[in-house]
Amino acid sequence: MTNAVLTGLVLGGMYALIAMGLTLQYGVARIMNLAYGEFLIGSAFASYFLFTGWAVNPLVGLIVIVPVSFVVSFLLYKIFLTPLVRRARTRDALEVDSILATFGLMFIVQGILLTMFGGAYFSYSFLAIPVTVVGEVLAMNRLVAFALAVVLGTVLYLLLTRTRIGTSIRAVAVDPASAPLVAINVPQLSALAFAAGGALVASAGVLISMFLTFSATSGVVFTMKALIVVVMGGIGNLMGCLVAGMLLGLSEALVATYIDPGLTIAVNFALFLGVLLVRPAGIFGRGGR
Amino acid sequence: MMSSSAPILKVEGLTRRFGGLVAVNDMGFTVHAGEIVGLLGPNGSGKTTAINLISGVLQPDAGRVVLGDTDIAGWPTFKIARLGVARTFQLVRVLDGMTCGDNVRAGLAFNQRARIESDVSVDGLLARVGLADHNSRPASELTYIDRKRLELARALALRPSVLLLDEWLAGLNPSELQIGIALIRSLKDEGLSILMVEHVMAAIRSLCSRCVVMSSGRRIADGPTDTVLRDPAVIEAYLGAPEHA
Amino acid sequence: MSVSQLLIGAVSLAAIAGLAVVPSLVDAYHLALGITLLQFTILATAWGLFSGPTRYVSLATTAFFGVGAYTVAVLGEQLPWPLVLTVAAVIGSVTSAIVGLSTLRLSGVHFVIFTFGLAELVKQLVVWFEVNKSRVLGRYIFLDITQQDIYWQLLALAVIVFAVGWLIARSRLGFALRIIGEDETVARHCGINVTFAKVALFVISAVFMTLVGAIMAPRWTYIEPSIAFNATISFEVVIMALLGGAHRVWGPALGAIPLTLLFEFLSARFPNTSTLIMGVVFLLIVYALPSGVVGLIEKIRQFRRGSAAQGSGT
Repeated sequence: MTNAVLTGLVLGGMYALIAMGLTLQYGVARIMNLAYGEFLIGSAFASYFLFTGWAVNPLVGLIVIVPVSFVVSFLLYKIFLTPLVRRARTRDALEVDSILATFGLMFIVQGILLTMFGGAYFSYSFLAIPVTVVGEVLAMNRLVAFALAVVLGTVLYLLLTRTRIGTSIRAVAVDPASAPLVAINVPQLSALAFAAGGALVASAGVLISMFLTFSATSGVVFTMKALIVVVMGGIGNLMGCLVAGMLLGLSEALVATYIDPGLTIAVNFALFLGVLLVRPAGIFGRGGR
Repeated sequence: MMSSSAPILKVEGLTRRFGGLVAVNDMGFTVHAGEIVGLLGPNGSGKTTAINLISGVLQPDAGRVVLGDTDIAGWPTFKIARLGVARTFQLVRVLDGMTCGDNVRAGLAFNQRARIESDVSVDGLLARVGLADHNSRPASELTYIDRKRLELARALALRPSVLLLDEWLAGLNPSELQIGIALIRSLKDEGLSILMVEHVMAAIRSLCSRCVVMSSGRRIADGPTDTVLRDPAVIEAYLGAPEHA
Repeated sequence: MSVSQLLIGAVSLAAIAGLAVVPSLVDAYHLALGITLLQFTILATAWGLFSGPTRYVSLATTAFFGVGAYTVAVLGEQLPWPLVLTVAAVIGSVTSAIVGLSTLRLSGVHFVIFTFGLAELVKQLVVWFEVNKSRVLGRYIFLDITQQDIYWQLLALAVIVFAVGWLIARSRLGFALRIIGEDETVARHCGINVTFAKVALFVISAVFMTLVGAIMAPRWTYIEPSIAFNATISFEVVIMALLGGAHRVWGPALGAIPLTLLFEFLSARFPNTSTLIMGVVFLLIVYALPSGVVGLIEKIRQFRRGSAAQGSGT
């Protein structure tokens, strides 16, 4: 039981971290990014490359990979997604357009990864030292990944709630139409939020590569889980990501331990539908009027 | 012009909360056959929420909405529409990608009562609201008042027993306003029962035989229009307490 | 019936007759290509039936296709073929009705997310069932069904899907869906049972997808969940329907034919980069042809009419 709960907590922390990046991209920049998981896998491969090629510690690799992802995502939004934002007349139209565009992007990133690495699974051994936590044995790399996820999540939360720019970002998430009235530069902040989301998913990719095997095509699963967590928690809500992510991680670990490891996706969907039937706007979502 | 017959629409104890806010609180009123009742109140007093509760867009937390002898509270919107509650919207909604004729046909096609009445036709309804010869014209080409007319024609296509007008006269210029008032009066003369949310005082005075006034979700007055508009509680709700006015 | 309608009818009949004799004229390779073309034409048209008017982007094609294929894998040898197809259609409609009823009340985005994972979900449930209950993973299909048979069945299904699309567009259901596509709130206030209309269309569309999967199944002699539930099909179908334009019945076919040929060519010539090129094609469509080939044709027509009117005016 303790082991299942610990595994669930680590998994849930990861899901929460992944979802926080997506909730910034979707909640603030209004881009429903279906290529999100591909960026996670992209940075996992980058970390693998640095570690096996140049023996760069993944934790040091973070310092390189995260800023690069920030810049790449920023440019991506500015060059590639801004035309869609301008073209869209309604929020629904932008949603459909961004789904389709990032869909194409998903294939492109996946295609590049496939041509570079093929379809095989990759992993590397880093900090694979057993440690004992409350009487249960866990791998060190999982604990480190979890701790870093907690730190990153906390930093993001403080940035959004305690700084001026964070407050503006939250204002855009709540009401993009009124934000310009209080002198908020919505296009600029949207680009920043999208880039911050890219940086977060990159960090999640590095952390996950330390303890999970991955392949060029495993991104889709992460996109799916991130989307489920974001919608379940309430779009644009960080606390929602945390609670929904933990819920998902714990339920997956418990079902895998006690019922059948082959039913995790079924559990995801059952939770997703269950939550939405009771609270259509998500756990922390503001109910539609 | 109070009718002694049973009311067409009777609302009792209607309540709806949004989180901690009680948007509509224990509302009650009636609409009788062939009368126009005004639903008044300052902005945010719950008028549109009341309309949404009656037409099924929102589900009430408590209360009854009796149409004829059927309690329709909590029914899905499409069933309420089929039973004869038609409405227009505060921000006019027409189907821009279709012709005017198809807009009206939208109101006719899904309604048993409308379909078996052979005297109701698309052209007849368009002519009724002053849009004769507009059948094949794209709705997107219409002017503001014509869009309002088209929305009304679509509502009339349902052969409603009660028509809910949510600020249908708002935004019209003075000459259009006279046309609009005349149009609504002609509907009443044909025996249609109407509940209208309205802010235009001239229209309320000339059209409504009776008014219900809301403030903060509650009913604060109900009676003949002249009496209600002189009621100190109503004046206070609109203008604030005397010492602040 | 006008002269032009009669003409269209005659041309369609001639085209069907022409397509029906194709198997006796071509070699095995081209027959296989013909089968793939028909498969994607039906899938894309069925996708457009639902997603065109409702504007819900469905990524569930693979889920239904796989349900059809797997039904054949399980029941193919136990029942006569027409009955197998009937059972597949029933399972497909029940599955889609459950999915539709539980997700179509949600917003469009939630629907996309759900269908995004639906194929994976169904696949996992099938695997779980096979491993724990029936204790077989992977089944052999030995049926006396030739490539020609598959071709003819698909051709018949293609005719039916177009006929159904044509009929829906002219029915009260089709009119209701146009109104829903314009403004769902107004639709409800016109007395339209919006949920029923959406679910009905979703089920009709899903039954066609299921039948395609069932008819195609004998093409593989061995089938397992990862073959039957191949997610790429969902994505390809969306690209095809969008390239063609999903707001007309015949639109998706206009995208399905060129893209099927392109993908066939790519996977034969550049097997390693086909995913990448598919992504590029997708982006080109989204950015350059947002309303598809049909939209482009309509725009050109409108432009011609506009310039003609101007010409006569001056």
